[in-house]
Amino acid sequence: MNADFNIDSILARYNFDSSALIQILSDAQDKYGYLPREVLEDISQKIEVPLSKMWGVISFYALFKLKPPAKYNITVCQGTACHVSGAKRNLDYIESKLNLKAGEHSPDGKYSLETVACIGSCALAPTIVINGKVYGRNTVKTIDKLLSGLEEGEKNE
Amino acid sequence: MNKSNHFHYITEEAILHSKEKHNKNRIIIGYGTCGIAAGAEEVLKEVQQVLHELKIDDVIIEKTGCIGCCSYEPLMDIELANSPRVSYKNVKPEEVKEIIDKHFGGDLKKEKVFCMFDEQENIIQYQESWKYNIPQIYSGLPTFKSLPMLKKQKRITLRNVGIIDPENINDYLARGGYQALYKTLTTLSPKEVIDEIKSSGLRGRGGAGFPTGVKWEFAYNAELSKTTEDSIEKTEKYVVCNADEGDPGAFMDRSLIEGDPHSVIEGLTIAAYAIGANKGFIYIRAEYPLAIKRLEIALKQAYENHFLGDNIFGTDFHFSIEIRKGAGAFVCGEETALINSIMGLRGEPRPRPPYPAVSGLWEKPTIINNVKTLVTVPVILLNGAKWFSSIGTEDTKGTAVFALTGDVKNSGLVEVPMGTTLREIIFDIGGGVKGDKQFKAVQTGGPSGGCIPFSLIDTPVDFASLKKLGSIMGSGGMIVCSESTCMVDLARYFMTFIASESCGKCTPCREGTVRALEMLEKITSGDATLDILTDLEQLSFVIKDTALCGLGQTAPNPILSTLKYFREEYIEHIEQKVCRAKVCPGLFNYVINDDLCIKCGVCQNVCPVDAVFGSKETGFFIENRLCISCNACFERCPKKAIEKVN
Repeated sequence: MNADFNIDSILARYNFDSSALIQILSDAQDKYGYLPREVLEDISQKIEVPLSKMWGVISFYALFKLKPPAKYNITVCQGTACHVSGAKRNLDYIESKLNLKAGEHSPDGKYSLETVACIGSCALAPTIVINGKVYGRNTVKTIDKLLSGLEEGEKNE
Repeated sequence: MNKSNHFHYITEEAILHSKEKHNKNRIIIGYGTCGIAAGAEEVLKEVQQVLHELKIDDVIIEKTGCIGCCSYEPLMDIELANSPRVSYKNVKPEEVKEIIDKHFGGDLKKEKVFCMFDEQENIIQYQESWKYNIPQIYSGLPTFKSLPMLKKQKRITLRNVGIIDPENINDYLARGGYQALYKTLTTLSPKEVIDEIKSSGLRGRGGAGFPTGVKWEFAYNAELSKTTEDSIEKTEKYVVCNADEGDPGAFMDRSLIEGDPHSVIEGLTIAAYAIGANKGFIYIRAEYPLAIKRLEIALKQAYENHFLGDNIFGTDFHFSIEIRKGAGAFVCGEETALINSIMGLRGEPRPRPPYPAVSGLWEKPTIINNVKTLVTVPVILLNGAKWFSSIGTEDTKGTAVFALTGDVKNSGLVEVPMGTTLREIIFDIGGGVKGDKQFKAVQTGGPSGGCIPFSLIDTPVDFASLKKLGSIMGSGGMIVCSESTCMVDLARYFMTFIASESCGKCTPCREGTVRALEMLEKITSGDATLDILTDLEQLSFVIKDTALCGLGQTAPNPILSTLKYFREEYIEHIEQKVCRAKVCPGLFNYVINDDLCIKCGVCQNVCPVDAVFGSKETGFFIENRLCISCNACFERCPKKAIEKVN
């Protein structure tokens, strides 16, 4: 067991209670950015839930990730208010700009593109979330600015 | 000191504390998720910077929740000592300095003023209210309640949102917070609480509209029926707050928790007392990190003040609350799926009965109430069932909270008495359709709801009236659609959502929604023939009649309601291959109007798929066969020379 993947403090938070599986997984994901296999095996043993059962839970919920996150995670909200304000068009535009489909990671690990059902910031539709920060009232113009901002940041590093 | 005196003491302390705040200068920033997305964070930083620069100290900087006027975010309010709170709208960081400079200098930046707060919107609203002096220069400023957006609203559920600091329990206490819980625990029996809620006529605000008091009574009686002579052991019971606000286009529950988290805790604790539960859960979407953070803070404060824990207010009632985060599954808003999710399982629903009130979490009696329902409970217990049932219609008592969004001028949170018409909500409160576009429809109830056309806009909102139209009240999302929304595309959109969110347990929903989506995609891409409409309708009825849970049973509503009211749009897509709203890719073309074009080349630069050909010398044209209809050229053309034609 890799020492980096010590999960005990999270498990202790929930008294090793198997009914808190979803909380444990989401805390683990917060810690590592995704759910590494070693971590899952460790959790499985310690709270006595078979890995197969855990897989059933992980694959059921959209927020669990089995791949390490990209450097910039772009999430395009597809809520109803965003949809009627052009979210689909914005997604199409970003997909072709980054040459990525929703759900994919770019090969260099720089970008990942996702959609979300609704983040509840409907009054600012259409919204885009980049690494947790919400940007509202997006148009092609603001998207260009956001994307080139990310590129700029890259160069300055 | 005994526990009841202790409560009076902390309430008095809280009022003193709030008085002190009103005696000082305050700057208050709307800091809900939408406020932050609109730029509240930058405004806050600028405020700190400016106060430092102008050497103004002795100012309390506070955050508040979303007051519901989202189109005017970021909002920055200034309250000078003993004067009314003045709200500034759409504040940009570069405007902060001038606004503060003027305001603290005894002047106003009039064109940025949104409103002035009424005395009811002060922090102190319990035992005494706090009176302010209105400076001469404020005369003529509109008060919050007199704004066109607010005039027809009646805020009961949203009573504290945008007014108090959600991270400060004193603010909640000074507005009468936890008084209802105190009254309940010290003077009412569980049966009396249930009777009061029953006679108030409160119905569940999560969408289904089940009478709250009746639900509680089921769970209350569940214990009695299980008690036999041999087992006098009390049945364990649970209460759950459903904050899994999954409907896309709805954010009422998020705003409530972000802006007034203690009211949720108070409501849930009262519910627990009524049915005899000692353990509660708040099941909340992980997509709402700020709401979760504020709930955690509020829970900690509630424990510290002994409003949760053992022997609350010195009684023998114990109650604790745990937060359970969801992980991104729409179906978990359905109560039996939610129960599975809380227990750490796949969020799949199961057939009812048995209803959770009889057999829920770990097969124990469990009640599940929506956030808005629980937040309304304390007010009913303080003001009485009679007062509450005097508001609203025969069918539905009280108020309805909507998240008004889409193509509407004033988007935001709206709370109106039941029976208010859609027209009043959209046109009087919402200010009508954005820009110079025509109103087409209003969508209520999210993916389980339907679209209501202009001809029915005078329908009053309550559970029965909306159901009659083929829509539902739902949890409160209300999305205004203009002529630029394609109704077939909207039905396709909802079906895409449902097909991907279907849990897969029952066939009608798992297979049916995918087949319905395929049919809709055929129509929106112009590949269908007319007989598809009959098939689509038939399939919709089968899904409605046979699906296992609410998600599947209501999934065809968006299709059926658009087929009912906007059939001609379906027919146009099929027969003429035309999308009148110019949304469906392939059913309209982008064309450059040479009379307006200045050959600047922006369209060519911006096109992500190189579908624009030509040069600055020869001019440009768009090859629509390559076009993905992303609208980039249309939006970016400086001369509006690109037209969409059928």
